[in-house]
Amino acid sequence: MLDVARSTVTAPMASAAGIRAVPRLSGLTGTMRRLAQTRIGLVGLVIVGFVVLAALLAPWLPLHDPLDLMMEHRLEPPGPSFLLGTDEVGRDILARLVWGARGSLMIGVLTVAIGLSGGLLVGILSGYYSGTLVETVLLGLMDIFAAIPLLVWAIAIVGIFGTGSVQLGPLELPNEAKIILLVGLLFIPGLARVSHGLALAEAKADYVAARRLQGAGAWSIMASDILPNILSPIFVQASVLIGIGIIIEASLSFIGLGVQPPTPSWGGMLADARSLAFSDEWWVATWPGLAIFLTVIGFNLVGDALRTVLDPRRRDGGPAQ
Amino acid sequence: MWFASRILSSLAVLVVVSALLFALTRLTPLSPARIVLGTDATVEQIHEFERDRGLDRALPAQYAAWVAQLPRSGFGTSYITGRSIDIELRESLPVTVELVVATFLLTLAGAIPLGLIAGLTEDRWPDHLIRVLSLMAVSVPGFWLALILIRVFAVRLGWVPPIGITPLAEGWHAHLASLVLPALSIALYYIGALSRLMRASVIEILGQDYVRTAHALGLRRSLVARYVVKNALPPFVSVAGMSFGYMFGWAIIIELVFNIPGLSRALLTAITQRDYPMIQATVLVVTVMFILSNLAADLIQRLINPRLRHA
Amino acid sequence: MMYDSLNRRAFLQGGAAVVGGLGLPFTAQAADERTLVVAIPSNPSTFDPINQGNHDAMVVNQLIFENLIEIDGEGRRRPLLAKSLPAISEDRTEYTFELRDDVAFQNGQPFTAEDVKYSYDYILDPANKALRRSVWTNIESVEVLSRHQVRFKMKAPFRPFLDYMTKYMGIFPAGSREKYGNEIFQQRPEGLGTGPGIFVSARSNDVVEFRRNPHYWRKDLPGWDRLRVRIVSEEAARIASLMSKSVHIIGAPPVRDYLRLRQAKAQGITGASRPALGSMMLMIHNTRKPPFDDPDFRKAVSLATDRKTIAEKIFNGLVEPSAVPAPASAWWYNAKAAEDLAFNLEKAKAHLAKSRYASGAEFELLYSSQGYLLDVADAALFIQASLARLGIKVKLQPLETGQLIEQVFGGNQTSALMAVIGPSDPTFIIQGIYTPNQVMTRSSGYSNERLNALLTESFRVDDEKSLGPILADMQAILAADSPSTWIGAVHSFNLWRSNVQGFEPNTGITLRLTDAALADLR
Repeated sequence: MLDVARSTVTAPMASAAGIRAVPRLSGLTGTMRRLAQTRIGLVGLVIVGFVVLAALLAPWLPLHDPLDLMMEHRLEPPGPSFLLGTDEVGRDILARLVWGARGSLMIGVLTVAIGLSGGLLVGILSGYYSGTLVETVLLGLMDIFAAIPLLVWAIAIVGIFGTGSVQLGPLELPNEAKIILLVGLLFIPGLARVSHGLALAEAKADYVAARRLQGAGAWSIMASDILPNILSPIFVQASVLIGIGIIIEASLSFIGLGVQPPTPSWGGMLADARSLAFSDEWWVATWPGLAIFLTVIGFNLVGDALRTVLDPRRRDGGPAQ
Repeated sequence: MWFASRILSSLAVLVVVSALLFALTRLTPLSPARIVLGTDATVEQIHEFERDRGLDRALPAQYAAWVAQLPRSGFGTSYITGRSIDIELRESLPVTVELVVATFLLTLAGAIPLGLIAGLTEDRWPDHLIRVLSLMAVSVPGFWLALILIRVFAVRLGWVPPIGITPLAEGWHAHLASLVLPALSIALYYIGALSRLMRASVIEILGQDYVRTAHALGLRRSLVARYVVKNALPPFVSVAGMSFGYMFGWAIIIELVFNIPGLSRALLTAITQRDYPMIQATVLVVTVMFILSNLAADLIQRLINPRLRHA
Repeated sequence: MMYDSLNRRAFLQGGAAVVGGLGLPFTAQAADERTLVVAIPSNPSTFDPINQGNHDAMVVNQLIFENLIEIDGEGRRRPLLAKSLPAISEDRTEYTFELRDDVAFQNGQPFTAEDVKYSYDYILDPANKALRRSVWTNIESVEVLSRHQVRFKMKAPFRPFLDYMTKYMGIFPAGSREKYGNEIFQQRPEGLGTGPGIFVSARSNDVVEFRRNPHYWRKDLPGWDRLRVRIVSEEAARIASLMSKSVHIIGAPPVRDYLRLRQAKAQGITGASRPALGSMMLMIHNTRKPPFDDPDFRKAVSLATDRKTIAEKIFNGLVEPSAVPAPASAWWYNAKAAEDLAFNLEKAKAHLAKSRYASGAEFELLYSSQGYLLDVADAALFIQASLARLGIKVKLQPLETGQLIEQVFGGNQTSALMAVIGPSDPTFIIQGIYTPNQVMTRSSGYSNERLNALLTESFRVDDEKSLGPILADMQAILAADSPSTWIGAVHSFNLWRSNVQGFEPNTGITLRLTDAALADLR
C-alpha cells in the first residue's frame, strides 16, 4: 500500500487504485460503457470528447485564421463577429483556442502514451520476475528516476537544448517532441510503480499459475494475461496524468519554453494575456485559462469515474457539476 | 540501521542523478566557449578557453573534477556573468525555500482537515462539496490562478501586495501577507490532491472490520476519530513529503508571475543566457531538496507508524 | 463574474485562514514617510556610469553621479556641476567651464576641477576599457586651469561634444578608482558621487535603495528621504504594483495600459508622454550574418514593414514612423530617402526575388521580454506575420534585457528589434551603430567609407545650412544599404500616482527623480 502511494506522481490517486481486489472486467469496452453510465463519467467524457473533436476538426471549422493579425480589430470584446473576442494583436481568440487544443491534447496524450508504455513494461516485468535481479535493477532504476523533480528538469533541459529543433542522430526533434519525450520519460517511474504493484498481485494469482502449468511462456502470460487485467486501473492514473501533462505543457509555454509563437497554444495565449490581466479586457486571459481548466477537469472526471466503476465497494457519489 | 541504509541509497541516487544532470549540461549544442567569446572567436581562442576550464577532458573526468571542487570552492563562478554561483544561490534559495515552506504549511492546514471531514462524512453534503472543490483545485493551472488572485486580492481589494515579497524589515505581518497569494497559487493544487488522498485513507480505515466493530460496540466517537487520524497519516506523510519537493518546480513558474527574486529568476535568467554552470547548480539544488524531503518523509513516516518500525 | 465566484471559493479554502489570522489587513501603501518607490523593468548590471549600457537602469547611476551639464525635462541643455554653459573658443576646439564651488561629494570631499580631469582621463584611458570610451576619443586633453576652472581641448571641432557630456559619464572623486577599486563602482558606489541619492543597498533583480543626500548642493532637493528603485520585469506586475499603490512611478508601461490609465485620475493615476529625443526603434540586422548579408534581402524586409500600422495601431502614436534613422518631424529628415523604403509589398517581393534568399529564409529576431524603453512584443508579432507573407520565417526570441543588450553589443544577434536612445544629436545613432569602433558597431557589422567621411565632416559644422545636406546624404547612403530596418522615433511615457509631484517624463526616457516628491503621505 505504502509503496504504491509513494509512487503516484500525483498524490491524489494514491488511494492506490488497484490495491483492492481488482475485479475482472470484460476488458476496456465494458469499462467504457459503465463509465458513461455514471454521472461524473458522462460529464468527463463529454468534455474530453468535445475538446478532442474541436481539435481534430479545427481545419474544417468555420474559423478565422488563428495566425492572422487583424490590426483593425485589436482587443474586440466577444461579439457576433468574434465569438470570444480578439487578442492584443487582433487575432481571433476562438480560432486560437481551437487550434491551441491540438498542441495541448497531443502533448498531454503522447506524454502519457510514452509514460504508459515505459511504465507498463517496467512494472509488469518487475512484477512478474518478482524477487529476482530483474526486479531489483528495474525498481532501483525507477528510484533514481523518481528522484528527479519533473518540472524543474523539464524547464532546465528544454532551456539547455533551446526551444529550436534538436538534431538527434537522423531525427529532427521539434520542441514539442522534446517536451513529449521528456515529460513522458519522467512519468514512467510513477506508472511503473503502480503497475508493478498490480502485476505483482496478478502474477501470484492462481490463474497465472495455471497458465504456467499449461506451458504458456513468460511473455505470453505478461502480454495476454497480466496486461489486460491491470490496464483498467492503470488508466485511472493515466487520465489524471494527461491533465497534468496539459498543465505542464501550458506552464512551459507560459514561460516561453513550450510551443513557440506564432503557433497558438493555451499556455502561450495566457503568457501573451499576462499584460492584460489588470485591465478591462477580461476575455483575453479568461478563455485560455478556462480551456485548460475545463479540459483538465474533464480528464480528472473520467479518472474519478473510472475509479468508481472499478471499485465495486464505492457507489457513485460523484460531483456531477 | 534502516536509517543508515536509507541515507546511503539517497546518496547513491544523488550521485547518479547529478552525473546525469552534468552530462546533460555538457551535451549542449553550443559550446560555452562560443557563448562567452562570441561568434568572432577564433578556433585557438575556443581551445584555450576550453583548456583553461578543463572542458576538453573526457566527461567522467570533468564530473570527478567538478565533484572534487564542490566542498572547496562550491559551484564556482558563472562563465557568463563572472559572478559567484554560490552568492547567487545564497541570495535566491532562501526566498524560494521560504515560499515553499509557506506553501507546504498552507497545504497541510487545508488538506488535513478537509480530507478528514470529507472522509468522515462520506457521501453526505460536506463530502460532496469538498470533492467538487478539490477536483477544481487539482485542475486549475497555478499561473492562471495567480493572475486571478492578483487581480482580485491585490489590485481590486488591495489586501496584499501584487508582486514581490515584502521584506521582513517592514513588519512580519506585511511580510507574511505578501506570501499569501504566491503560496496559495501553488498550494491549491496540493490541497486538492492531498485532501483527496486523506479522504481515501480515512474511508479505507473506516471500512476495516475492527473499526466497524468498534463503532458497533459504541466506542466513543472521539476515540475512533483519533484512531482514524493516526492510521490515515502515514501514507499522507509520504506523499506530502514528495509534494514538498515538487512545489519547488511550481514555485519557479509562480515566482515569475509575482516577480519574486528566487530560484526562478536565477534559473530562467541562466537559461536565456545559456549559463550552463548556473542551470546545473540551480537544478541540482532543487533536486537535493527533493531527495531530502522524500528522505524526511520516510523518516517521519517510520516514526509515526509503529508497524513499519518493527518491520 | 467568473473570477469572483472562483476566487471566493479558492480563497475560503486556503487563504482565509492565513489572511484572517494576521488580524491586520495589508496596508496597501508600501511606502512609509517620504519614501518614493519607483519600478523599472530591468536590472542594472553595473552602477558604474562609464559602463552603463541600459537606459532604464541609468536612473540608478544618474542619482549618484552627475555631470557638468545636463538636459532638462524639456530637452534643453543647462549647467549642472558647471556654473554656466562653457565658453567655446573661436575655432571650436576648446571648451572652458567654470565649476560650482559649493559642491561636495557624498563622502565629504569637495568637488574641484581635479575631479573632472581625473574622471575624463580615466574614461579615456584605453586600459580601463570603459564601454562609452568611443564617444570621447575626440578629446585631446583636459586641463585644470584653477581649482574651479577646467578646459577641454578637442583634436578637431566636435559638434556633439556638449550633448554627449550629458550622458555616458559621471564625475567621481580624484583618486577614487585606485582607492576603492572598480568593484565598488560596479556594485556598491557608496558616497562616490555628488548626486542627490546616496547608495544604501542593492539586491540583484529586486531593489536598489537610496537615502537622501543631506548635503546635496541643490538645497531642498531631493523631495524624498528614501528612494527604492524596484526592478519589476513583468510589465503586468509593474501596472499591478502601481494600481495597488505599492509603487509611485513606473518606467516602460505597456502602451495599452498607459492609454487606459493616463487619465485615470479617479484611480489616483496620472500619465504623460513627450517625444524622446535621439531615440529610434529599429530592427538591427547583423549584415555579416545570413540572410542579412544581402542588401536586397534587407531592403525587402524594410519594404515589407508597415510602419504606419505599427505606429498607429500598436503604439497609438507613441511611435513616430520613419524609414530612415531620423525622426520624421526633424529638420534634417530626408523624406525622399524614406519614401524609397516606404511599405510596399510588391517592391519587397521584387527585392527578395533578386536576393540570394529568393526561395525563402529563416532568422531569429531577438527582443526584450521585459520591455526595454518600450515594449515591442506586439510589434515583434506583427513583423513576424508581415514577413511570413513574403515567405520569410521569423523565430521570435524574447530575452532578458541585460542579455539582449549584451548580445547586440557583442554582435551575436542575427536581428534584434529594440528601441535605442542616446543624446539628441542627429548623428549619435548613426555614429554608434554604423561607423567603426563604436559601442554598437558589431551589432550591424556595417561599414561604409563615405558614411565615415560624411560623419567626420558633420562634426566640423554646427549650423543647419551646412549640416542639413550632410545629414541628408548620410540618410540616403544608409537607406540604400539598409543595414537596419528603421521603424520610427519613440516617445517617452510614464505612469505615476497622482500624489507624486515634480515628476514628468524625461526626453531621455531614463526616469528623472531628483525633483520628484510625494505630495501627501496618505
